[in-house]
Amino acid sequence: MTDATRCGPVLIVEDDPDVRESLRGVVLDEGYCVAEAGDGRQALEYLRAHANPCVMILDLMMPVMDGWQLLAAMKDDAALGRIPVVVVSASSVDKLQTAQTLGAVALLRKPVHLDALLEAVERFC
Amino acid sequence: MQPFEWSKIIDALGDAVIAADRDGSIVYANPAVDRLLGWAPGDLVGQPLIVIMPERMRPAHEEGFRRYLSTGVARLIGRSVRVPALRKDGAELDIELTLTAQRVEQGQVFVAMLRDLRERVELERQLGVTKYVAAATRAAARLAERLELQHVVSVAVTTLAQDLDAALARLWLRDPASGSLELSASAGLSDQVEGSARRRIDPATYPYKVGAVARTLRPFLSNELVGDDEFEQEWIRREGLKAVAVLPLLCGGELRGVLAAFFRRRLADELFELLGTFGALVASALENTRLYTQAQEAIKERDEFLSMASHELRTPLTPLVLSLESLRRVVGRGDGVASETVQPKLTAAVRATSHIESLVSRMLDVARVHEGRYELRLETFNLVGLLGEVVDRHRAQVESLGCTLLVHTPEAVVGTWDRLRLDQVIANLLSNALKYGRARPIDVRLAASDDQVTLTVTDRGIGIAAGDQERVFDRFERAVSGDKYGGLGLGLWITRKFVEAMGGAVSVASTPGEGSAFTVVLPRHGPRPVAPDGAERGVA
Repeated sequence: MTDATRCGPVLIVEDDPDVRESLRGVVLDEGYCVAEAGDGRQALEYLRAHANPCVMILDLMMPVMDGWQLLAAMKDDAALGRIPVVVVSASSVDKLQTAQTLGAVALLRKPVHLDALLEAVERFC
Repeated sequence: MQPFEWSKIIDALGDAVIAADRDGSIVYANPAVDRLLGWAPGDLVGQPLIVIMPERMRPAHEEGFRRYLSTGVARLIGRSVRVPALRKDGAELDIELTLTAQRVEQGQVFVAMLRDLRERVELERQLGVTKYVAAATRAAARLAERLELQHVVSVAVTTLAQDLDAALARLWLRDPASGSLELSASAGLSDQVEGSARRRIDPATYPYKVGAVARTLRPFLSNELVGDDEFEQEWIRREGLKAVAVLPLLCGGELRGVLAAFFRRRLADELFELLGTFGALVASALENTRLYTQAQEAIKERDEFLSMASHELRTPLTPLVLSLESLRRVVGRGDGVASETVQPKLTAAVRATSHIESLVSRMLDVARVHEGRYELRLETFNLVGLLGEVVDRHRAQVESLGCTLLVHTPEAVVGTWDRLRLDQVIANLLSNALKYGRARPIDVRLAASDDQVTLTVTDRGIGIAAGDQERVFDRFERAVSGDKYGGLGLGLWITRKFVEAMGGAVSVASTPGEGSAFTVVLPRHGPRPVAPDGAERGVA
């Protein structure tokens, strides 16, 4: 597992800078490439300008465009609809489950634990 | 045979008997007549019959009397009628008159029986009051049916209009912020006379009775609408309204509203009094809705706060947990001195953060359990396996306390439960045993029958006084002081809620100074369906 083989990249969509930084750090430590977006709209802009990431780590409660809106927008787009999305959110279990109906492949409740996060990322990258 | 002494018998009758001849002169009156009409014994004899009739009745009487004598056509003879009679002192009273004509030796006589109706009128009045009391009692039950403002105001006015015979009833509620009165409900004539009611009243300046009642906090009750300028209105005359009651709705001396009702007949004092009582009932129902709404809002606010706080705390916990776990992983791969000194500190930090995480989860659980917003997710699994997992999670704590934890279970116990909730139940009981167990041995015992399982966690710790044993399952209740033992006092409350949701029961047996045994009994194959009326409750 060399660095070169692991560059998907992993797209992290999270508005809280501390959370984003820590997610980025642990994913980088495992040798993945990382791209970041601070809200749904930035993520959409990134996706339209770049090749698809191997997986997206997505927060739900964000300003400008939240995670549910982004999921809905991706669902309607043939190219983006195939990107696996791992939701990482502090929302209640009920709210997390609404993301699943919008196509999220995994739901992780904050605070997310390292093993669970890396396991989810590894599945797709 | 002696002739019968009829006159003695008639003299002794309680009912009044009076007789007059063809000239209209009284020829006989028994003592009951004298008593009823206030004459001295014997004085009526020889008087014209018209002396016992009010002036206004006399022409009709004389005309009828003449007609009968000349034509034999009788209108009253042989019938009973309700008429006013005149007493000697000029007062009138209602009597029932039964008139007969007889031919006797001396010629034709007219005999009348007079029955005092006052008692009957009193009886009818009492029956009327009884009817209203019954209606007000029914209304009290209806008022209490729902703790909603709109329900209370509408029951108040419809009761007045439908059961208490008001022609029109209106209720104004006081807006606590502005002090003004807002018309909140009307019943009866209100549709036709809506224009006459002001929707919003400022009691300080409103010149009419509703304003005065709101200012003085005293009821206005009247049977005399005529002559009062306020009531000299076309619709009041047209509808023949005779009485009005305007009641302040008071609670603890504070005005909550004003209730007004118009009636088509005059009201007895007892009915005015009953209306006052009805007003007090309505006021207290209004107060109940206010307190209920306030309590609901406070609970909602608190739960929203708990939800928000839980959410807010989870976000900064994320980088903390990830960084610590990542550090521990890196240090674990490393070697020598750094690893030896750093590793235990990291382990302590990771344990502390997972403790914070479980406190945060529990906080949200309080809100969700309270709202009944959690759903059971039943699945079939081996309880022995789950028990092992939970015990393993507590190994580090058991070791650091230096106590022993013995687990006694059958080989496997497969059943249907909510895995996450049951995990939390076992974890709560284990945490408590470790916390209050004074580092002495703890026993965890699982037993199963075909349809139920019994889990007992026994410690040899400080124990719980008999008086506190029920209380420990209540929210925010703890048997020990918060200074010595930390915690929120939520664990056992949540445990009880989850166990009950799965159709089971949790109990405690304890001796202070010797230890406690918490026992959870659960149905093995999921909760029984509860009948709609809850009849199944407690059967298990």
